[in-house]
Amino acid sequence: MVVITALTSTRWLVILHAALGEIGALSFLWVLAELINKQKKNYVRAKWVSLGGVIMFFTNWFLSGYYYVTQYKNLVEPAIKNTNFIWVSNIIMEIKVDIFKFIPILALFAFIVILSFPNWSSDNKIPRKSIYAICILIVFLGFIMVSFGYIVSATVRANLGN
Amino acid sequence: MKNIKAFSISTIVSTVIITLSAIIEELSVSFKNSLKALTGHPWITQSIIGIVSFVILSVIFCYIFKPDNKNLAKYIWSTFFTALACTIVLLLFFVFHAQA
Repeated sequence: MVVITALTSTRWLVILHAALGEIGALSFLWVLAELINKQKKNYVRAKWVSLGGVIMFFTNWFLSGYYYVTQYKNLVEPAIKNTNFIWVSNIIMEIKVDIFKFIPILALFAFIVILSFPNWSSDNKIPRKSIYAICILIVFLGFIMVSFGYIVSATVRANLGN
Repeated sequence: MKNIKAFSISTIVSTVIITLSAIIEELSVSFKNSLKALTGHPWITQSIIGIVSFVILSVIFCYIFKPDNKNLAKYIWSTFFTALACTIVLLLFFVFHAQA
């Protein structure tokens, strides 16, 4: 009960969704490093880490969605609207919530692609560069989410004066 | 090997659906209200549409398309560039829409 109360509090939702998103993005950076090392053990690790990344992004999807729908619209947005920083809500947050919708799908696609090449270490016909590019894009988008989230948090703190 | 062609096209279509619905939602109040009416919030409806379309299309395309192992790079790069393009489109749209 205490855990559920904590999870639904704004502070913990912000911390948890940011942490999960960052771990998810970093997972695909780890996957990239493992894939570049074309050893069998690295491929096995890449497979599991990418699965972990997908789980992180989907869990984050639920937490962020819950936070956005229940807390952001009622508590955070009013602290930004009607100030000089309205662009943070109208541009930064809008871009963030919309890009975020397809990151988990992209991560799931990357996992399926990685899973499709069990002979990663020996097969020379694998389109490695395109798979690296997908991983880099997930990391890039993940950290765009993190930086946009930081801008929103900083704006709210500045406007509330704490 | 998985049918990467099928999963790639499903990812592309889902990403485009999510992007287009996000843009149309901003331009059309009736569309936004219809999204809201389905689940209570447009964000939830769009997220569900995104993942459900990915799953359903993946199943359908896995039956329709035979695995095309010769053009794997083409499909993966197409997915990459579509996701990147959707990101840029959303970025530009909200920058210009906020000023309108």
